[in-house]
Amino acid sequence: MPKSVLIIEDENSIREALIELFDATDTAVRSAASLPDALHLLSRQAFHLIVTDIRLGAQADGGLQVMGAAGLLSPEAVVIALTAYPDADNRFASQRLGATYFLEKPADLLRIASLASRHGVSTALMPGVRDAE
Amino acid sequence: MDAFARRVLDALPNTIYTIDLDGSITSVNQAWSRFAESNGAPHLALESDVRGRPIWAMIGDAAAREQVERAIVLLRSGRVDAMSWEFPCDSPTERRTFLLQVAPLREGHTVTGFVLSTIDITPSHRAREALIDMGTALSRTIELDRVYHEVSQLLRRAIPYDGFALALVDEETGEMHAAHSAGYDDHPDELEHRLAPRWLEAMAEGRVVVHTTPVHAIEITAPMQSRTGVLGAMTLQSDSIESPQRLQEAERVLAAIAGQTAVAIERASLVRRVEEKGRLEAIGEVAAGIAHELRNPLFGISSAAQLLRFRAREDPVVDRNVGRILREVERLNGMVTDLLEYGRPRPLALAPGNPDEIWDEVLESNRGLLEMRSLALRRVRAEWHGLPNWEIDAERIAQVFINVLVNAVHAAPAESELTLTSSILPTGGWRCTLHNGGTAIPPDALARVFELFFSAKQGGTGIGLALCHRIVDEHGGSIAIESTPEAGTTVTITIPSEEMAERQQATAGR
Repeated sequence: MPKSVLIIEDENSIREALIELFDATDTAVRSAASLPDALHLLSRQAFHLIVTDIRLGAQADGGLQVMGAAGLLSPEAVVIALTAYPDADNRFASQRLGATYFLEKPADLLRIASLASRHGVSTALMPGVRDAE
Repeated sequence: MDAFARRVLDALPNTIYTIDLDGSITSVNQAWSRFAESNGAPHLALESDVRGRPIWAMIGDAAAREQVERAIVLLRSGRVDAMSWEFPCDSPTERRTFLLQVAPLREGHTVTGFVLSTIDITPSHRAREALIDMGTALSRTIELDRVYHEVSQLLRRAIPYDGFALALVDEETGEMHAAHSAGYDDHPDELEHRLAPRWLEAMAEGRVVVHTTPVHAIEITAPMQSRTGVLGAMTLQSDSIESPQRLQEAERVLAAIAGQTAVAIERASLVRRVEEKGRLEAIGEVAAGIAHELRNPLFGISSAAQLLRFRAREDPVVDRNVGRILREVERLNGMVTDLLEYGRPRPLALAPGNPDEIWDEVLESNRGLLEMRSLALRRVRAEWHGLPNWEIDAERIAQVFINVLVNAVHAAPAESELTLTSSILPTGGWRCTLHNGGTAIPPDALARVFELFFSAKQGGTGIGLALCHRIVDEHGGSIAIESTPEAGTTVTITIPSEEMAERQQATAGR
C-alpha cells in the first residue's frame, strides 16, 4: 500500500514543488492551501507523513492547529513543520504538538526527502525507499 | 556740612544728591558732576549750578517723577526707612540700567529732606538678564551644537569676553577635549593643552578658579556640574574686568552658566541617544518583517531549482546553472538571517565577563580563517588579574568580534600581520583595537560604515557592522573605525566598566 502524505502550504509555488517532490510510485499525495481544507482532509483519512507550514494565510498559528488536529486524527503521522518564522515559541509549540522535525525556510528539498525516506516514504529525489529497507 | 563728610561724599562712586521737602536740590557730590558732564549736561555739573533748583527739572520722564514723589510720601510717613528701584537711563551711546536709592534726612524725629543716590548697575543687570535668557534658550535646546552656540552668545552679553572655551571629559579615557571655543586665537590643540590644567583644577576643586594670563588678562574657569557628575569645565578670558567686584560677579555668573550648560548638554546627549535608538528599532522592525517574507520565495526558488536539477540530471549545463541559482539563494538567505538578527529585539543576557576571554574563544575557533590567507596575528593583551569588571552578553560580543575579525581578514593583504591590542582604560573600561594593513577605506565610505545596508565591500550586505554597532551600543560601549593609506585600518571597540554602564543606564532611565 502506498504511503499517504499531506502537504499544507499556502504559497502556491512551494506547495507545488512539494507535491512534485513526493511524486513517487508508492506515495499518495494530498495537499491543502488553508487550515479548513487541511482539517477537512485530516477528517477523512489518516496520513503517514504531514508536511505543514506554520503560518497559513492570515493565521500565524494555522500549522499549529493542523498539528493539534493531526494528533487526534492521524496520531501515527510523522510531522515535518516548515516555517519562515523559526522563533523559539514556534519551535517549542511544534514540539509539544508532536512535530518530529522543525525546518527553517528555505529548506533543502534533499533534506526533506531524506527525512521522509527515514520513515519509509518515497520521493522523486529518493525513489524506491522500500527496496533500501 | 563738615569738611570730612564732604570729602567722603565726593569720594563715593555713587551719584549722591540731597533735596529738601519741596524737592529743591540742597547738595550734590562730585560723582554727580562727572555724571552730568558725561551725559552731555555740563551746565548742571557744578553744585552751584543746581543748588536751589527743583529736582523735578532734572527728571524728564513722568513715570520716574511719579515714582520719586510716591517714595517721598512714603518715606515722610515713616512707614519705610529707604526705597530703591532700578530704572533705565540710556546714554547717547549705550543702553544702561541704574539703581536709585532714596532715604530720608532727619533732624531728631523730623524729616527735613531726602538723600538720593544712583549707581550704574548695567553690567550686573545685563548679566542677570543674560542668565535668564540663557535659561530660557537652553531649556528648549536639544542639539549639542545649539547648546554651545547659545552659551557662547549669551555669555558674551553677560560678561564681555575675549576668549571662551568649553571642554568635556571623555567618559572613557578621562581626558579633556575642547568641544567649543570662541574668540581665542590659539590653535585648538595648543588651547586645549594650555587650558587643560585649569579645567582639571576647577573640576577637582568643584568651584570657580581664577588665573591671570601672561598678558594680564583674567581667565575664569568654572566646572560644569550636573546631577550625575561633572561633565567638564568652561573658561572665559577677559581683559575688561577692572574691579574686584566685577570679577566676583563674573565668577558668580560663570558658575551659574556652567551649571545650566551642564544640564543642557546632558539632556541633549540623552535626546540624541534616545532618537538614535528609536531610529534603529524602527529600521530593525521593518528589516525583520521583510526578511521573513523573503524566506518563502527563497524556498520556492530553491525547491524549483532542486527539482529541475533532478529532472535534468544528465545535463551538465542545467546542473551548473542550478548550482548558481542555489548559491545565490544561499547568499540571499545569509542576508535574511543577518537582517533577522539585526531586527530581533532581543534583550542582552548580561553577566560579568572578560572580553579578552571571548577573543580567546573567537580566535581559537576561527584559526582556519587566518590560515586560509596565511595571516599572522600579534596579540597584546590587557593586564587584568581581578574579577571581570564588565557586564557583557558573551554570545553577542563574540558575534561582534567574529564580524570585525572576518572584515579584517578580508581586508588584509595575504601573508601580512594583524594586530589585536587590548587595554584597560583609566575609567575601568575595556578597549581593544584590531589593526590590519589593508587598503584604506575611502573617507566618504568610512563615515557611513556603520549604517544599515551600507557596504563598501564587494558582495557585502551592509548589515554586519550595523549589527556590531548596535550590539556594542546596547552594552553602553562604542565602536569606531579609522583608516588611512599610511596606517591601514583600525577598529576600536570599547566596553565600559560595570559602574560606568550603570551610570549611563541611570541617566537614560531618568
